[in-house]
Amino acid sequence: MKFIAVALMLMSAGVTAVQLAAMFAGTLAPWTIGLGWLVGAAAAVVSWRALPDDIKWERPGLLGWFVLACACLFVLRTSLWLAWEQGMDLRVGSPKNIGDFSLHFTHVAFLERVPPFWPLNPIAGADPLTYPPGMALWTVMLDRIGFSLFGAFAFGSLLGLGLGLAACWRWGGAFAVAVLMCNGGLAGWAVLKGGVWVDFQDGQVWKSIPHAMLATQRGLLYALPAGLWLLVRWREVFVRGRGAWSWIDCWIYATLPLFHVHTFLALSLLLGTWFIAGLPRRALLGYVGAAFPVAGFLLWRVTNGFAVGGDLRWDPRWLGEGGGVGKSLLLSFGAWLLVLPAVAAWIGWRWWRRREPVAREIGAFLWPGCGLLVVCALVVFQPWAWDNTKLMLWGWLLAAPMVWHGWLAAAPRWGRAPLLLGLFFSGWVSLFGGLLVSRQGHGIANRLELDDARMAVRQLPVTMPVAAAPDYNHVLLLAGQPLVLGYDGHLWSHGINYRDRMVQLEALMSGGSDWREYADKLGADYLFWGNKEARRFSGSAMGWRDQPVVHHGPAGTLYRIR
Amino acid sequence: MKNRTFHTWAIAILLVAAGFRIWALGLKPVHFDEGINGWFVDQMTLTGAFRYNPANFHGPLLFYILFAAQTLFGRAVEVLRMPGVLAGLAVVALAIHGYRRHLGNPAALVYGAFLAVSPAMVFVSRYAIHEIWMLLFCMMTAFGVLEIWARRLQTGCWWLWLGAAGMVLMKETYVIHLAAFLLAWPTWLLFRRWLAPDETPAHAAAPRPTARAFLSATAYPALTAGLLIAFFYSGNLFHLEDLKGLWTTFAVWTETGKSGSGHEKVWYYWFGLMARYEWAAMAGLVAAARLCFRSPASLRWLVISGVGAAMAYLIIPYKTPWCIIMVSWPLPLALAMALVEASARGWRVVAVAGAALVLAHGVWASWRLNFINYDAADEPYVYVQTNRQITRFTDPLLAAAKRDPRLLHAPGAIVVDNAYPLPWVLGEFTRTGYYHVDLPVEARLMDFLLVQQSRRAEVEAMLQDRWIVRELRLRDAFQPVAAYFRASVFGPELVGEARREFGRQGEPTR
Repeated sequence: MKFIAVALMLMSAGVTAVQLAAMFAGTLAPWTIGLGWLVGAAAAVVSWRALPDDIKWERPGLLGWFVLACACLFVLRTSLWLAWEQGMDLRVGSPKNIGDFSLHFTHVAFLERVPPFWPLNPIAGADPLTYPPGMALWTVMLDRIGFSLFGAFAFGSLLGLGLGLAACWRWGGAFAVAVLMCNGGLAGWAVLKGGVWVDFQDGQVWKSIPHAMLATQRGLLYALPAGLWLLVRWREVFVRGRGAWSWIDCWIYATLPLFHVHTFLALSLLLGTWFIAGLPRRALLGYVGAAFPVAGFLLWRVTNGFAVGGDLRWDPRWLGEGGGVGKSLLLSFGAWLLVLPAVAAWIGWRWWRRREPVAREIGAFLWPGCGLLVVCALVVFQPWAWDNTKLMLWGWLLAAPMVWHGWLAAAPRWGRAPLLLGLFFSGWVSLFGGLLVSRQGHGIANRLELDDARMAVRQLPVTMPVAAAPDYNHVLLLAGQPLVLGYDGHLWSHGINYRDRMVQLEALMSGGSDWREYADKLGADYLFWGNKEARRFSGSAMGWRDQPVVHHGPAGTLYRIR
Repeated sequence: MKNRTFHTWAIAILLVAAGFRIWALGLKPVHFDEGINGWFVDQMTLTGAFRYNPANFHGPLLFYILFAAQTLFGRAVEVLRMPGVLAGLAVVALAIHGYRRHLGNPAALVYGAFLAVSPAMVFVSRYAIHEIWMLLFCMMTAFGVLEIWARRLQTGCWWLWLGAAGMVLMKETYVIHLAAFLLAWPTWLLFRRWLAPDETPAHAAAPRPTARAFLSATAYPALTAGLLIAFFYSGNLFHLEDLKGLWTTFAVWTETGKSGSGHEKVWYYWFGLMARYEWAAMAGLVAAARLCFRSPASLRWLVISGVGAAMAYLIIPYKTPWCIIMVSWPLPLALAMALVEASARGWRVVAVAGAALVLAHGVWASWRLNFINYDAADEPYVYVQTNRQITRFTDPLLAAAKRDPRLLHAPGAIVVDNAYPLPWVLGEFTRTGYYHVDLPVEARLMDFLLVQQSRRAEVEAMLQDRWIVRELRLRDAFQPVAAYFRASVFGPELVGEARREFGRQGEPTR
């Protein structure tokens, strides 16, 4: 437990220091990275001394070892085969990571070019960055101390997921780890029909958490261990009333917006619910009040002064994704649809009728967790409805592990086996099915084109967005150069208002007689024409064709158009 | 010896060991075997797992270790070698901190110091090959047995089973060591009956564990070891059929061990190496004979097993110099015990002088071997070693790719009989072809070539434009080779070198 907090302090204090120093210096200069390591190391040492000695860890039984072994296999496989170069290809291990890894790689490649700070958004070159930069900064920090670029990604993943598993074990033992790694309903039972073993849950909205979230959302590599560690601490302090919160608890909570805003919001909702429910209000107020300055500043910064936000709407059918909600729920959650409400009601009855302290403790997490799941099933918070699952993850991690404490732990051993099978088999099949399909990797870029793009961008200022095809794996993005606009799926889901600019970009790339007007409107001094552009704007008149060529190579041609 | 004094000495010895192992780690050119191991690591990245081939090369674990290192820290010879360095340091640390429970503090320190400066230990630790790991796991297994002997059942079982699993996962020669450990048992029983009784150790008074307690302590470690072996040998469970390689390998291996591999040596080969480099092991031979007669039971067993394994290595004709560390590792331990005993019996000056002489020789021989003659053909430890001249070919290529990453995709051809370690060194170059017999018809389109001396005329007849030509040797046993660099591409890296015009008559120009 102690090592989890120390590692989190190293990461969060280091990254925050880099960010503040870079903001002070106006650029992500090398010394800011060095300072980040110094501050992070100091925070780690101080927190190691400040934290009490660890209590003894629960020793796993046979089933616990099995769950841990499966989880470790996933972590090693996903992290060490995250991305690699293969012949002419740059490949990613997971098919779900094609777009996400491209975006994260873009952020890191951009920061590696030492941009002014606070940086521009590389996928919306005229805007400030409105995406939590914590993990990208951490990756740059790792890269600067000797990890290779891919190695920094891989190590970040190994460390984050390893800490996440340890924190999850602390949160709810083997059952909680199974909840995290083997979430699922009925979809995976299809494996018994024979045929190819795949991630059968992939077609559902509520996908396998490891494959859909842990492998793809790098912010969770901090937020998952941090969130689970906070839950363990809050259980002790606010629910059980043992001891007081410390500055370490406060700091880890306050820096969450720098890594994963959804986790910060979900955990803040939990604190709010407790406040309303009457848990020690004075302590809660003090805690949130102490975290507010840092958390508020970071939230303000990563949302560009709260300029990007959600898109709140009532949509009880989103979980069905156009199909039947009931069928989707059954395939996604299966037995949990019965078990969770039943245990929530049973715990409620135990608290209401018998006033059992244990029921209160379980209910403090189970009821808000169930509530968050229900709300997320009915209300969509973000432009892309699937982003709701980032909040649902925390509803799930709050509620599902309580099934063990509230019911299964007391059930006879012979009765547990079929129940555990019913709850986790489908998710377990998905966990390994997802690994089986990922062995050869999936190409995201041609290395020759990428290396050519790296040569091209050496001639450009890092602050100069280039007009090019808006694609998630554009080689200029992967080479660290901002584009006027990147992939519209990312722009949309990040809540960026881009539609007018997209129209202008398409007009510019179409190269009609008025292209200069659109170049002026977009502030684009450079235009890139490569394979993606030729495909996407195949009918382009290329009116800027006679403009000076800055670079020409296998990736394409870079024109100076203003 | 006070605890504080012991730890101070232990840290000092580990620092010396680290210095010898880490300093100028990339100095020695990539070895032939390292090139092959690195190539397997590259294949693992592409295929998602290591596929065990019982007819070729060794167990899977080293490749996973090297894969993790290369994935995290990138392609560099220092990265490939660093895991071996850490294993080498773990060997010294285990000798000092682990074995001290059984040897006593002074003997453990002396043993650790012998290992820290041993030319073979240093030389092999600075290679990305299997042997240093094999030694680490072998010492772990032996340590596990010593711990069980000392009634620390739970700890001992974990060390024993994880060490044994590590050996099985590392190299097929595990069977020699496990057999030596097992056969040492009846031999020890015979020795104590016919030669002399054991000295009584302190833990003899502790109750002997019951069979039930032993089974209970060994269940989890044994299960873990079995699962690890199955997991790695089956290509991460993706290729369960590969598990049968665990036993089919011995059919191949026994043939390799007998003859025809080109690595056959005379039976006394090891003694020659020890006399030249490993004085601690040489003197330890005499001390080991002494320990067989009089020592606590566990150490007697350890020395018997070590001598047994060494005899097996004497008999097997297949001998490569890096196996010396597996042959000799318990012998410095025996010498350390003998020196400490001599000191205790009033021969302190002799003991200190003896230890100092052996250590001084180790330091001198290690320095000469690892930092001066690291690729010299007349050093017996330098075996199938790539010549330092390889950098005359690889340095311009790597420097050019750093200048312009597009040159990673420059077309090139390697036309030599045995190209390793180049496939790993140039692993990032995407358009390099390897040709053993036929010259590529498109040779004139290449930007760089490496050609055996005997085929230069053939190649030069195909070339056009201006080229820079360098002569070098990949290995002393091979004929010289010529490296061709297209001047228009690699000119900035080869400023001042003569350009030769091909395709029309002309003299070299500058």
